[in-house]
Amino acid sequence: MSDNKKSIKDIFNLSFYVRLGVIVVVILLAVFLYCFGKQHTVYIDNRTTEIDGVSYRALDWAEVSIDGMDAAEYSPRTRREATVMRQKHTIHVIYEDEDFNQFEVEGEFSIPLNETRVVLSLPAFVAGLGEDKFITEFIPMAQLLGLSTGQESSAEEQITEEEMFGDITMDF
Amino acid sequence: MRRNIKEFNIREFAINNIVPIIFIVLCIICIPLAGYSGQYLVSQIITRIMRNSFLVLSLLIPIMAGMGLNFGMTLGAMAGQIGIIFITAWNVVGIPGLLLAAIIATPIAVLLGWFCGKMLNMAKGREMITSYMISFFMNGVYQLVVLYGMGPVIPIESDQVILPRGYGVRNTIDLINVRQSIDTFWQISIGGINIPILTIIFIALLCVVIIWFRKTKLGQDMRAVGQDMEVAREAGIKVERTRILAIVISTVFAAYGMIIYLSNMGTLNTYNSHSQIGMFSIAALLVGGASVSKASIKNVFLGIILFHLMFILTPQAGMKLMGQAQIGEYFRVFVSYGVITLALVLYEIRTRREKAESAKQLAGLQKEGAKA
Repeated sequence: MSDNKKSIKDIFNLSFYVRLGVIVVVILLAVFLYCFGKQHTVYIDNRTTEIDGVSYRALDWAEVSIDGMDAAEYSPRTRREATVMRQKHTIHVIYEDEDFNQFEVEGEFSIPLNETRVVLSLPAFVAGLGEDKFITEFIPMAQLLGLSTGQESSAEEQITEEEMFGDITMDF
Repeated sequence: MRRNIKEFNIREFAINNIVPIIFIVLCIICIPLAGYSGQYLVSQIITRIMRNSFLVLSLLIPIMAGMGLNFGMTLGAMAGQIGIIFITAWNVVGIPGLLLAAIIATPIAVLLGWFCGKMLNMAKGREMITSYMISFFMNGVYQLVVLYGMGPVIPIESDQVILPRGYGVRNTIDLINVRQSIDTFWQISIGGINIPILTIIFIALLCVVIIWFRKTKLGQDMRAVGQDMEVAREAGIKVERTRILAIVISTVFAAYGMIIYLSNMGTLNTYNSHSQIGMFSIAALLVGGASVSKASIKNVFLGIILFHLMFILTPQAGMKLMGQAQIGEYFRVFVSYGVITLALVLYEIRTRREKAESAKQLAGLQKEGAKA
């Protein structure tokens, strides 16, 4: 019967818009949480590097702090990691040249959202290069050299029936 | 003068509370045998109340709607695990990570709960066994998705999550990034025992929501459906819809409960964690004195305390008595199943007795009517 059919007005009523609004808010909240809570590992690298054919020499001595966290000292060929959340960060670098002249550089950088681990080259940063130059994707050395990453040894990891259908002696 | 208060009958009290009484006696025997300090026991019990309350509380609403013990809460646990897998793969950490896991788990839990509710409406009167079987069935689907779907179909690239072969999730995922995030966010120490305030607030909120929910129109409808479906239908209540909603709410709460549970544990056994959760949660609720048709918040907490005291004490008591902790492990396992069996049998006996009594009363009334 036509009386039982819902009209468009009945479907798109106030409660429909309230529900739609709630769904939109929840999706926005999820996006915010993803951006806000995503953890990135920044490998701060003080090694001589070559970018676009130009060589940037490792700093003789540097003290680096990210987002106001405790500063760490760097000598040539040092790499340390900093664990950060969110995309935008500040970096504060105090460094010395070969004549012991001290310089201070402060800057901002942002990590691409989909990258979990990135390398920040200190020589490139203090040389004033762009963010896309001093921040690069982290590729494990073994992978770069085409060596075994140890994954092959664990490739045989099997999932047994016991694991699939429960362990009654598990803790609760 | 007519007395409104029933006389206290020890026999009736003992019969009605046989399960908690057995557990209290067992705990009294095991405490000196295990030899743990009071501080250790209290600290362990607090940890386990924080870890499991949400899961056990999720069982209350289907009982209110007369659908018995929801073994289908495992479906919610699976949804929670999927949320946790995603946030681990995306490296979203801490409380934002757990909230994101809850947001991801919610639509999955709603969908699974709706499916489970639909199935249970087709099997009225056999809800428990049906939900138990549905949980086995969905376990297969979950494993298909997690073992073969994640990687090629559902794009996940994290080495931490995906097996080296490129598809399927690892057996064990370390949840170091979210481990005890809620518990440690705000905690106070009393006498060397850490009290996680934020977790307590979450649990208290859920308790308040459940109490409030009982007084709402939907809550009243669920109680009416739980008492008599036909009468509720005659009163204009949409029985099927109400029952589906009860299961959906329970499944969503179970998903949140699983997220809290896993964040407290700090490890996800991808193919195991959810499988026994329903069984243990139900056993804990029954140990607290709940039945298939009646359960309250106090049953939840009493149950968790007693059931977990057994969990903590029996391995050590077994070790002291027999020289083997494994004895205690087996003991707690068969006790879990035994408690569920006992509760089901007692429920059946009580229902039959009530039916026989009401039939007797009806026959008496008919006799009196015939005499008149």
